[in-house]
Amino acid sequence: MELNHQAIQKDSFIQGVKDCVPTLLGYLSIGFAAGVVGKTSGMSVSEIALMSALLYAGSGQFIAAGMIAASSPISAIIFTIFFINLRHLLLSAAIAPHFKGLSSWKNLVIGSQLTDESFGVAMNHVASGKTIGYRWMLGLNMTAYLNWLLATIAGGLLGKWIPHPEVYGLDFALPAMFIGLLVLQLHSSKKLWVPMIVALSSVLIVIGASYIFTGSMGVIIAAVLSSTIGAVIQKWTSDGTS
Amino acid sequence: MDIRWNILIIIMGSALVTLIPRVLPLVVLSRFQLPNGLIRWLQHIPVAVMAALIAQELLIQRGISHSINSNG
Repeated sequence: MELNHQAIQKDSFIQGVKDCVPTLLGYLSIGFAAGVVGKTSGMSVSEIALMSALLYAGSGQFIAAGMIAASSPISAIIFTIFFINLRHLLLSAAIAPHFKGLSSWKNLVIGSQLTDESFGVAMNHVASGKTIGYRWMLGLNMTAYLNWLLATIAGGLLGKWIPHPEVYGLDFALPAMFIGLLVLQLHSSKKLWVPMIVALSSVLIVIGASYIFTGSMGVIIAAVLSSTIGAVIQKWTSDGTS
Repeated sequence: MDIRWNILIIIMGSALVTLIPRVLPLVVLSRFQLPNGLIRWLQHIPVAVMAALIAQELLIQRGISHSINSNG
């Protein structure tokens, strides 16, 4: 009974909201910058808000603004965004085993709001031995979503006074957030050297790939190859038992 | 509501092609018991993706790739 109660408490919407808080500064600053860039590209605040509400992807929205400003063809913009966001395929697959048995509809709701950051927070939660549930994930996702939406609108409204957001260092909030999430992930690993090798090979592969492929393709290739390296090392060192 | 038609099409189109890879694995894979090898592989995805994104943000976009990007 006691155990059951704890399990229910862990899967609470409020706890998901709380666990989103450390990443909020990242969402707010990047979202604000995305709004400013959108405004600079000639988008209206309504268009920026609609894009945040439906597309809800930072890198995609920056690229969209850049390509709209450059008057790129609609088909090229959509294809580029598809490509940039293709890495979600890996994130969605990696998180799927933790939502086994959930209805398709609930998985669809979770997946539709999956971002690099919410994925990172969720997987850190798993790595530190906690379980992730539907309501917790919903709290995490909804908090991130609302903050992103409001931040991009704020950026769109104030954008005309801030023509060069990168001057204020806002663009460093994104890598800072990823570094934080990576460190937490490494911190909670049992065998530290395996994920260290994965991280290092991922960095080297993405740099190597950048000479041949576009950035988003490089990230996908690096993730696939270095995860394979990690899985192979793990199999060798533990005789197949994980 | 000042939303132009071409922007609306861009938003709808890009939202759709972003939504599909986001939800498809979650909806499909969560219905099956995945093989151990695949789960072991998937466990490394978080570190791999985060490391790649950091490297791309800090090393590639801000430095070495400026000359590459301008080519294409």
